Amino acid sequence: MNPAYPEIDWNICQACDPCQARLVCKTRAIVQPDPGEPPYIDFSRCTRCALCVITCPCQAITTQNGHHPA
Amino acid sequence: MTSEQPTPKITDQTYLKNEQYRTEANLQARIALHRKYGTNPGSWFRWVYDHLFLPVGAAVLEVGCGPGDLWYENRDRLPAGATILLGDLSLGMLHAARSKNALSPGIRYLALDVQSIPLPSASLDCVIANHMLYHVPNLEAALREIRRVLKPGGWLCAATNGRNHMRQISELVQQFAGIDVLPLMSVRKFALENGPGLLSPFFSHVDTEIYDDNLRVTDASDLVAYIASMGRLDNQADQRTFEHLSSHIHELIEAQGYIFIEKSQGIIMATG
Repeated sequence: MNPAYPEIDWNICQACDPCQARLVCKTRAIVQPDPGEPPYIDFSRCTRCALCVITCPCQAITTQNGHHPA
Repeated sequence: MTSEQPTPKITDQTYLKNEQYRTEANLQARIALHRKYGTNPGSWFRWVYDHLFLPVGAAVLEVGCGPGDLWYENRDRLPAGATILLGDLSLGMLHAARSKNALSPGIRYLALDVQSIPLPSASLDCVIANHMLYHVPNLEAALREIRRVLKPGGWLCAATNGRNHMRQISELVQQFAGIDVLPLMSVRKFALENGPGLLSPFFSHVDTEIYDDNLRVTDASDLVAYIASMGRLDNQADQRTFEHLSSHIHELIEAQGYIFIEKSQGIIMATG
């Protein structure tokens, strides 16, 4: 498992509706209260699987060390 | 050997409400078989709950809640501040669910038909439909309603069976007694195989998770009770057939030590 939590760079995020990373997150850790606004990550639910990092079409999600596995 | 009486339909709401699920007895007879002989040492209801990931303060609706076992078995970990709504067509089931979950705060009970959910649009984080969508006469209307009441980003957890689920039972009854129980056992209308395709028009992302379990039944009377609970063989006209089938099952178990029954069960998680 990736040791670092992912981060969403809101400068890169295009606030897709629906957010593709949110859709694939099995633990519902990516929260997007307002469609059209960038989501955030609920770290209490995130399992650091990095599926969101791989899925985000904008590559707006990275791990904390800046590494993007895709 | 077949009776003149027509087999009740799996989507006949009057039959489901007033006979099959009037009380929890039939359902509990079937659940008992899974609990006693399942090869998976875990609990189905704990496993389902593991996949819900309900946040603090979640607004949740279970349609076709039955006797509320999902909430009873997970009563030690219900999310704080959650609004949990349990809905069922059968008042008997709602009564059983209320009695069972009397000590869990924040649970409310609704008599409802999933084809017309009496709740505002975009009001729920999660809807659960545990082994019930194949009972709905108008599945498309039900899915449209579920999508309507879910918030943007809300998710549906639809549990169902696969096409081969417990096929040994239907084969046994069909071959030995010449009686078609498939209309009651079959979930072809909404199964693990076709469920994702049926949900796709309403949800952006659909995922299937399989529950690993089978049955090794060692007591014939439990299997006989299960078959009786399906409501097709327990009437007077079928009494002789039922007795023949029952002794056949006893002989099989005596000879082999057990009857293996394949299960195919899981959940389809759909997110909008």
